[in-house]
Amino acid sequence: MSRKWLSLAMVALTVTALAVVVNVLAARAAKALTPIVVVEETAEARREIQSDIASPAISFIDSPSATCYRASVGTCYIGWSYLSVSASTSQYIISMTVSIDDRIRAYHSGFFQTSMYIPGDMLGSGFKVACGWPGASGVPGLGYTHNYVIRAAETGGLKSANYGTVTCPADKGVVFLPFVTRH
Amino acid sequence: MRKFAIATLVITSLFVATFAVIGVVLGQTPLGPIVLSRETQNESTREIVAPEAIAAPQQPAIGFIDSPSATCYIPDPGQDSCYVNWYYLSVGASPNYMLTMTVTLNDIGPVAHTQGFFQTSMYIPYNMLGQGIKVPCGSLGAGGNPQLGNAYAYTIRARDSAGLSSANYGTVYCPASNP
Repeated sequence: MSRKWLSLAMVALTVTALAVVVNVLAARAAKALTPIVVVEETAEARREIQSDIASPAISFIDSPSATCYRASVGTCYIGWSYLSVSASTSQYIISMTVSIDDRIRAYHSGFFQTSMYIPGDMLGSGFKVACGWPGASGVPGLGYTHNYVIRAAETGGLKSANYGTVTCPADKGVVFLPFVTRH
Repeated sequence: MRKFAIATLVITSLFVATFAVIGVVLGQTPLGPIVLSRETQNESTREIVAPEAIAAPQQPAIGFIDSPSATCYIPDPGQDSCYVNWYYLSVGASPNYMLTMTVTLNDIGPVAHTQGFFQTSMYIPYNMLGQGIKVPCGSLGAGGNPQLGNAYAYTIRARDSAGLSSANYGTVYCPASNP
C-alpha cells in the first residue's frame, strides 16, 4: 500500500516539475518575441529605439534646436540645426523621415551608409507652417504648437524615433501703408 | 615501324588540337563593357564598369561614387513642388583624372553635370545644387509607397581618364502634396 502511494507521489512530483519547466520556457519565448523599447522622455519631447535585443545598435536620432521662425507675415518655417542617426558598422541606414502634424515632409534614403547626417540648410528655408494667432497654443505671445516625429530605420530591422513639439511665433499682422504726403 | 610512326603522329596531332581548343576557349572573353565590381541593397545598386574586357585592370583606380542621404522634401505643403538633393556626391580615381560626373533623374533626364579639370577626385556638396532639383511631389501612393508621393529613380555616373566608369542607381521617394 505504501509503495503505491510513493509511486503516485513520484508521478505527481514529476508532472509538477515538468509544468514548471514548460512555464519558464514559454515565458522566455514570449519575452524574446516582444520588442524592447528604450525610451527617454522630458515634458515635451520623447525619443525611443525599438529593438528585439537588449542593446540595440541603432542610435537615438540627434535633432537639436527645433526652431520655428516667422519669415514674413503669415509664413513660418520649421527647421533643425541638423538631423543625425547611425547604425552599427554591419548595418546600413535605410531611411529617415520627417513628419510635421502627421504629414511626411521629408524622406531621406540611405545609400550603402552606416550613418546619416542632414545639415539644417540642406532643407532650404525649412518647412512652411502656419504661425497662428497670439496665444493659440496657450503660450502668451506665441502661435501654434506643431508636433513633429522623426523616424529612422536600419537594415537590421531596428528603428529609432524622436517625438517633439515646436511652437511658432504668433502671426501679428502689421501692414505698412505707403506714406503719402498731401499737397 | 611505319605503323608506330603513324600512331605517334596521330596522337601528337590530337594533343596539339586539344590544347589549341582549350587555349581558344580560355581566350574567349565577352566583348563590350564588363562590370568589375557591383553591390546591391534593396533598390540601390552601385557598380564599376570597364569599357572592354581587354582593357579591364584587376584593381580599378576609380572608386564607388559616394552619394549618401538622397533626400526629397516639400517646403510648402500647399504646392506640388518637391526638391531632390544628396548630402554630397564624391568620387576619386587617383592617379587618373576624373573627367565627368552626371546626375540623371530617369524620368526627366540629366539634371546636373560636372566636369573635372586636371583633378583626381570630385566632390559636390549639397549646396552646389541650390535648393535641390525641383520635381512634382505627386499624390499619395503615386510612387508605389502608400504613405509617400512620386518615386524618382536616379543614376549618377562618373568617368575617369582611363576609360573606367562608376555608377550609382537608386530611388528617392517624395512626400505627397496636398490632395
